[in-house]
Amino acid sequence: MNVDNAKSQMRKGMLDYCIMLLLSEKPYYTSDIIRRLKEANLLVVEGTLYPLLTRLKNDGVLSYEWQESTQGPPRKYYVLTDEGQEALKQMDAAWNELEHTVHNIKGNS
Amino acid sequence: MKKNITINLSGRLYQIDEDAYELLSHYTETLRNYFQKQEGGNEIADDIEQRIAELFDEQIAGGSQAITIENVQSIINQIGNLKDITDSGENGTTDSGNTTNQQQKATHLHQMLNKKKYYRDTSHSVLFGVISGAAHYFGTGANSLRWLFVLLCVIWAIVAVLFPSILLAPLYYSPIGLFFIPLIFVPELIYFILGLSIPAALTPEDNLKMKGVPVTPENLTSEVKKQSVQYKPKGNIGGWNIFTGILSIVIAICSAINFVGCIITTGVLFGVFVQQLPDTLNGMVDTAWIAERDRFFTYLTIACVAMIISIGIVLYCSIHSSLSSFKKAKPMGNVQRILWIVGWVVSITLSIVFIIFAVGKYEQLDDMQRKAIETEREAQRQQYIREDGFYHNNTDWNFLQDGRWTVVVDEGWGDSQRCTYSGEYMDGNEDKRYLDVYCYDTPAKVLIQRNDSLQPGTYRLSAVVKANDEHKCVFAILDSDNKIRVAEIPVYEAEGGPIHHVATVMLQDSFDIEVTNPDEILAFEMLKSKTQTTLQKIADANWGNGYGWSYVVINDLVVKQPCTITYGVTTLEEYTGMEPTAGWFSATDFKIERTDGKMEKTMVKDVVKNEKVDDKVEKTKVKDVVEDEKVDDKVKSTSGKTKKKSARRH
Repeated sequence: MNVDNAKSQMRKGMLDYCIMLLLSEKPYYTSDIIRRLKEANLLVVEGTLYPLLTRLKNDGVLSYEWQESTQGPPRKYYVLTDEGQEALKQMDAAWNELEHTVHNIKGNS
Repeated sequence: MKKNITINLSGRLYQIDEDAYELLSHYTETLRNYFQKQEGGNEIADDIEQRIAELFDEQIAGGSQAITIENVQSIINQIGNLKDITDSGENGTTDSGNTTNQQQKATHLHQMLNKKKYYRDTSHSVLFGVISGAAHYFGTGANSLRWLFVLLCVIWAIVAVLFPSILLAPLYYSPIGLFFIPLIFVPELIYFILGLSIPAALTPEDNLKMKGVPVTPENLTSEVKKQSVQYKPKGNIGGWNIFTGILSIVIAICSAINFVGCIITTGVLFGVFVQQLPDTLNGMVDTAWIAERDRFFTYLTIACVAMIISIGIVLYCSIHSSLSSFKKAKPMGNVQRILWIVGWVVSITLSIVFIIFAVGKYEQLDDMQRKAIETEREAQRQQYIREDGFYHNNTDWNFLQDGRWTVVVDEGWGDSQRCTYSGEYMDGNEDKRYLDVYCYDTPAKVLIQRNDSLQPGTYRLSAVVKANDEHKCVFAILDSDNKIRVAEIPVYEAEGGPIHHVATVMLQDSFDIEVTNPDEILAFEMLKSKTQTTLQKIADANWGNGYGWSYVVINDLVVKQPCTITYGVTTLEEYTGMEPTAGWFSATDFKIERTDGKMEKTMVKDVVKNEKVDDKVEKTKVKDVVEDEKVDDKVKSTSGKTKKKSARRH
């Protein structure tokens, strides 16, 4: 069995959720999102985030605004939309269910 | 020390080493190309570039002035290798329908990155690096490929000379053959064209693609390092050095010959083209001919045009390639190249094919012309095939009709095609026509005859004849016994002859006739009755040389009952008992006279003479209208004795 593949699959599923969780705290720059995820020990290829964020924005879950910065070029400042909030609640519920299921199976073995 | 350039990344300027820039631009370009296919793809690419800029800032904040290739390397590793980004299938959680699509795109990118591309390897080249590049592409050794190419050139040259010269033999050695010379040098020409048109591996990325190494940042970096360190030792490729000079000269010459040959051939074709062919076939307008002739010119036109197109293609591609190698024009893609090559092959083939057609058609036209002339000649001849089934021109036919002559056999006369002649009669009269058969070198079979009715009596047939070869005869057949009687025509050729000789002698005051020559004796007998004037004419004929005539007689034709006599001239073996010979003979003055004392109406049918006969008068011949002659009543023929003739003149 290709363990790496399975692990990668698991991470892929989580990524949307994690990002939305992050953004529910407060708005973030992309670089900060990356940093926070790394802090949380989530191994992610940076390059994969950008398409992901764009897709979530296209889906209406996120939106961004440009913010000027003194240190460098303007940066994107992502924020969770109302629609996103709604979606997040459903994701929360889904995640709890998953957690429950896994816990249950583990407990019975 | 490395060259350094300034780039603008997301609106900010950075100093970056050239090799680092190569690596970076390759990375960003590939990503942009990849994401462009998605919705909002440009935005994603911009985001990534911005991220790179941020990371650059961190580097610079750390103290370095310029971005190095190692920096770029680690940044790429951080953001993610191309493989990782495309592999992750980041859109896999949305539409299930998109999964395969993305996977396809990913595989496509893979292929893009890993595909081997055909570049010319100018760093390991003998001449243009065409073969070195091919060696990389096919994964074989360059040297073995070079030997193969040389072998190909030789074999091709041999085949290109042998095959057309055998298949199209006479054609090949005509001016059209010029056209086939370019064919001999096709492989060299293709090499030359490839050398001009195929791009050389210039960048590190090109080199990787040429060798089929996946274009990952690691490989790129190492390749870039290799390149900056490497120097190119030109002309150091083992034993092939010597070849460089020779090969380049050979190829240049071959290409030049090819090119010039094509131009010359086109010129020749045009030359033929310009020569007009008329509308008429042998003077008559003929639709079939016009159709074929137009087809001929169509083929020629197509051949010329195709040839010009192929020359044009070669010119265009050469110029374009030269320009692109000087960076004045964009090098053309593989598809275009293949199209041009295919176009060239097609036009050359068309040209050859249509030249062959055109030549075939030309020969056909030639044939048609010849046939038309033949047919006309035949038709003309047909007019003159007479009722006897033989060809006679009008003069001959009239003569035969008037003289009641019938041609029975007429074989092997060849081109002379006549059976009468005039101009060499024994007395010099140029208008007197007589039977004359002329067959230059083949023994002709001839039988010309006529019929007369005879009353009972004894007759003699005489004729004035000449010939230049033996076995030609005068004959006579009585239908009462059907016995063939012949008298061979003496051969005295065209001068002199017994008649002339004897006539000359007879003009002397006193003379002797030779006993030994029977022809002369006979001539004397026959000439006795001629007037002096006639004799003089005979003697003077042909400027005093005579025309070779002699007499023949067939005696003792005994007729008991009225019957028919058939007589004439022949060379048939069944009649003469001798083999026919070639050559000519003439015959005239056929006379049938009674020799038994009784003079009947003789059937003398010479057109010129008239005759009055008396029942009881012996043979009297009134020759000259003007002169009279007295003869002794009882003069009898006394052949065999010499005689002195007393001249009686007025």
